[in-house]
Amino acid sequence: MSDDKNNHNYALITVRLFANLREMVGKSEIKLQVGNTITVGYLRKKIYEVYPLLRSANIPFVVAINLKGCLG
Amino acid sequence: MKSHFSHQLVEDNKIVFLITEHRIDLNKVLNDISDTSAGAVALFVGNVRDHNSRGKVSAIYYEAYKEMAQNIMALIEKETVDKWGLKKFIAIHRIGTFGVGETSIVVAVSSEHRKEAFEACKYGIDNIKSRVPIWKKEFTPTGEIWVEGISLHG
Repeated sequence: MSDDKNNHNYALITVRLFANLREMVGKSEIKLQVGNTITVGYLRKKIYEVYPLLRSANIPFVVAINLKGCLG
Repeated sequence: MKSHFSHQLVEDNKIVFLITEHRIDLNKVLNDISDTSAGAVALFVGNVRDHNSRGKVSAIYYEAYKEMAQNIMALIEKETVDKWGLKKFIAIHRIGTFGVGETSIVVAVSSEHRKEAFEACKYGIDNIKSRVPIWKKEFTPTGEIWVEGISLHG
């Protein structure tokens, strides 16, 4: 992810998708509006809100932020 | 080694990492890994198998998050070289679609003695497989399936 825009309350981030996530969403990159400080769990929940198909597919996925792997 | 898609990290001629869409040249790897101060060379070659646990496989597709793959590969290579005092380390991963019997990954190391060479080579391939963001899809008679893989812990 990268932080594209910051103001007091939110940031517009870029989420890159690979492999089966990319195929299911149909894009290699999506933009999400999130709070300035977020957790991996929150990010996952946000992605599911926009793409509910991913929640129902129950695909395990890993998250990296700014090229670093994350737990959670 | 030229490629439409490649990242190469060379440090003091000791470490080479390449992601390529081209067929891997094993003869070149063996030539490049040799060192007159090394008594041992260990080579791992990963080829596409014609089956998985569920049945036949006709081809595979590899996809990489190239920027992160390069960073993690550099880290793994440094860990390996430092821990076993290697003379050289080469790792090449092929991406894209290719068939059974073709080589998908090569890890080669050279060291003074064989103990270090065997251990370092195993460490290298084990960590590349588990930590580098490269995903594999298998093509089978019943369809395509993504194989679970990495942990992305640095």
